[in-house]
Amino acid sequence: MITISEATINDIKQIQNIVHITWPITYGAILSKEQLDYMLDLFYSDEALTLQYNKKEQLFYMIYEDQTNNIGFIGIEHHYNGEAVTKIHKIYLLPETQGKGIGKKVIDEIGILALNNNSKTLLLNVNRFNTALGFYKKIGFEVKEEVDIEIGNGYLMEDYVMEKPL
Amino acid sequence: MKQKSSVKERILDTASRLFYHQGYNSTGINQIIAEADIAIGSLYKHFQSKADLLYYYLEQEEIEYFANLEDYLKEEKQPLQKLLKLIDYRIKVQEHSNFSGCHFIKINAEIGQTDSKITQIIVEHKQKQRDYIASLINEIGAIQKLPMEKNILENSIFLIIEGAVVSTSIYGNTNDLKAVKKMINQLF
Repeated sequence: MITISEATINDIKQIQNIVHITWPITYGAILSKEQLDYMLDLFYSDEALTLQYNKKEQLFYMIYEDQTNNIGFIGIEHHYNGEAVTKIHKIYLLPETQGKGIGKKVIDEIGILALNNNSKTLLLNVNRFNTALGFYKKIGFEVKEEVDIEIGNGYLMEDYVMEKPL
Repeated sequence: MKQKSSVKERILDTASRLFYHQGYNSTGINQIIAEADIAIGSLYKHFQSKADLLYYYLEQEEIEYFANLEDYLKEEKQPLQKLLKLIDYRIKVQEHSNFSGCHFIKINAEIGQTDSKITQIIVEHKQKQRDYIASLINEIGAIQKLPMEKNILENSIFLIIEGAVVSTSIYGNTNDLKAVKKMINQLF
């Protein structure tokens, strides 16, 4: 059974563990080693994660299998840009858990949280070359637009913006 | 004991000091050679003209500005803190120079649009400062919401810092640069 519960500041270390496992697998073939390291540091250093956690612009949840086994995390933001939209900023599941329908269940859980916050749509950005693109399409997300986001030092995030009505 | 420096360095150091604190137009070749304690022939061996010295001066300032800035920020990880520290850096430079303002803005005021090569050096320096701030704001925007549109924010912060640097030379203090830090802290 999959459950999610709100992260505490003490979960930061585990979030870092998860991205250090999942990022090289997800982005190793898409981004240069330099950009991958740069982005890991930019988004997931102690300082950056603490800041994001404390700002509460996005809410972090830990994902558990059988109540105690942590297998991933999400970062989501309700009322995104003041609209009835929940944005999924971050969603990472450990590689050994993938392909078992867990991702779909997590998206369903996010959908429940989103509806409780009066959202009508789920929104996310995905790298245009990320294999997760197929997964998102399968579970009902559609590409809304293509965006290139500058993240400093000349690096770009080349994303699709995808949305799914609730 | 004074470190032994090459004749070229001595000329450049003297000219730089005089151009910055006394002004380019008010500084004659004779004063440069007198204060650098060199012969006029030595000066023309290394530099073709006073204008040539000015190019070297600005190029040197450009290199030093960014090298020292990189050095000053290298320990800082958080992008917002880097932006605040960039202002600390400009405060430090102004305190060190006895609130003499920006080297490039001062030369622009004297020479301005009359020498296209100088104009180009100044424009490029200011563009690089602008780009540096833009890059930091891109980093900040990656992990938190920005209070306004990115390009408006980049321009505003760049222009406010530039204004506050000019203000140091008017008031002889760095109060306005410190006020900019407070403003940025409130903005984010």
